[in-house]
This record gives sequence, C-alpha cells and structure tokens, in this order.
Amino acid sequence: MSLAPNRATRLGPALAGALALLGAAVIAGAAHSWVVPVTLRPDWSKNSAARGPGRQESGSQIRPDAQAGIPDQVAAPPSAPGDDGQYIDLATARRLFVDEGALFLDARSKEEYDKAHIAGAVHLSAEMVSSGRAAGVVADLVASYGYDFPIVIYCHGGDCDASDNVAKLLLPMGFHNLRVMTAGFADWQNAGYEVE
Amino acid sequence: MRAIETGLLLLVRVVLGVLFIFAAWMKLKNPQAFADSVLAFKIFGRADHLVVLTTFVVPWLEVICGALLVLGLWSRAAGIALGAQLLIFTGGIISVLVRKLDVTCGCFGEYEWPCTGAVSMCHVGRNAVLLLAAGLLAWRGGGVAGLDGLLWRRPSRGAIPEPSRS
Repeated sequence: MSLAPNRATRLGPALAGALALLGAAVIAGAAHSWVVPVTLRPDWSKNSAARGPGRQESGSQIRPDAQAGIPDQVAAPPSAPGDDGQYIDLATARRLFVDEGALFLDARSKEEYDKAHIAGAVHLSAEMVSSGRAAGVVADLVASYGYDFPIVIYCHGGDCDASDNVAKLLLPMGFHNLRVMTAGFADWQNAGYEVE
Repeated sequence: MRAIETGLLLLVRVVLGVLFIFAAWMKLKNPQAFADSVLAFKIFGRADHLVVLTTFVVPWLEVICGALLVLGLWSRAAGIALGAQLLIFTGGIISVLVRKLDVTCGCFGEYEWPCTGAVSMCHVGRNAVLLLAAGLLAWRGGGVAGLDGLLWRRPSRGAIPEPSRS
C-alpha cells in the first residue's frame, strides 16, 4: 500500500502555483503603473533656457568668487565644441562655472560628495528627489537661485545615469536651464579645476 | 531530526518572507528610484514598457510571495517564483559586472545591506544565499506552523481505507 502523493509535495502544482503568482504580480503591477507613472528619460523640451552652449541668461546672478583664482591655462575657450545645449563637455561646464557662475549639482552618493566635490556644488541625488527627502534642498535652490539660473548636474561620467535622473525630475518642477556634464567628477578633478 | 528540519524550514520561510516584504516595500514606496535602477542595468534598451513592467511587477511579486511565505501558504510555489526572480536578478548583475557598468542595485531601496555601493560580487554572493533559501523551500516546502500544513495535511495511515482487492 502506498499513500497518495501529497499535493503540497508534488512539483507540478507548485510550478503552476508559481505561474499563478507571477500572473497576479503582473496584474497588480500593471494596475499600479497605471496609477503611479514613472519618468524614464528627461523631457528636454522643457529646458527652454539652455538651447545654446553656456548661454547667458538675462538677469542671472553671477557668483562673485567665480572668476577668482582661476589659472589662465585651465580656462576654457569662449566657445567650446562637443555639446548640444543639454549635454555638455568638460570645457563647456568649466566655462559655465567661470563665466556664469553656474550652480553645480552633485548627483553621486552622499559619501562620495562628502569626500570631495566641485567647489560650491550642492549634493542632490535622484533618490532624494523622488523620495521627497530633497524637498528642503529644492525649496532652497528655488529661493536662492530661481528657476532660470544655469545649473550643471554631474556624476561619474561615462555610463553614469545619476545626473540624467536628477535632470528628469527637476525639469517637470520648472527648472529650465539645466545641463548635464558628460564628463565625471574625476575628469574635473584631474583637469586641476576647483574641488573642495 | 525531523523536528530540526521542519523548524529550520519554518525559520527560513519566515525570514525570507519578511525580507522580501521589506524589499518590496522599499521599492513600492519609491517606484521612481527603482525604475532608475532598472534603467541603469541597460538591459531593455529603448523598450521603456519593459522597464515600467519590471519596475512594478518585481515588487508586487516580492510582496505576494513574501506574504505567502510568512503565512506558510503555497510555500513551494512562492519559493519557486522567488528563486526564478533571484536567478534573473543575478544574471542581470553578472551582466552589469561583465559590461563594467556603474550601477547601484536598488534591491532594498536606500538600505543596501550587506552590500553597499555599486553592484559587485558581494551582490552575487548575497543572491546566491537567498537563492539557496528559496530553493530549499521549493524543494522541501515550508515546514510547520503554516497554512500549507493545515490545507494539505497528510492523512494518518489509519484514516485511509484499504482498497478492496477483490
């Protein structure tokens, strides 16, 4: 005599159950995505003030110390190639830093920011913005600089998406003079530019 | 020996269930951050609908399976589903390591334990341990003190009538 196989120990029902769980998750996830949309890419059409490389905004404030202590040999040429208005190279970022006193946002982790960052940069990660933990920082930015001030966002460069992720969250808030530096912090540091 | 095994299965089941409910909660409370993590893996290319689907289906699968594991209901099915998900995740992490991408896992939201920073072999090792636990549940079931035990209780020998041999 043998006992009938226990339903809880047979593989077939367990596999079928796993598929049913996946189906339930797909239905719940699809419904959830309908209610809570996520942003995957920056909507650069909202970036109306940053159409040209390093464009000077009327009425934008120039940081008083921006020109101080900059060696001539590291100053970028007035018109730097290699950017499309939104994604700028190191030279253009440098020119915005010097000429326009642009605000730099560091999208790397807090630990990396604390070790070293571009002089005057503010730490703002995409996770902080999307979780709402950066509400105070964003409010301070708006109060101090407004929505028109030139802002350059950077992370590690290369494959790093963190700066893009910050840009795509700031654009819908009304910031429309954003640029993403394609070079990373290490490139800035290796060029001998200001860090702190 | 039997008591040790069922006790171990109970422990693994509850710990794994709670862990995945926590992981799901961290993703569901900030789907945007998890979507950014999924995007950073650069696996789906321009197929944004797959990114969105992954962003929401993964945490829902985790929360459903985690809850079932804690309850001890459909433990083997939940173990198989989570094991399959862990296998896919681990494949994605290995792919990121091979391509030398700078990606954070996003597995537990802002709490990255025991592995911190960009994805590394530490994440592969952590997933291997979790995969072992899920595999154990898929193989042996959820142990004692679960609804599986109540619903699919093996009848005692005395309760089964002998088939007639006529």
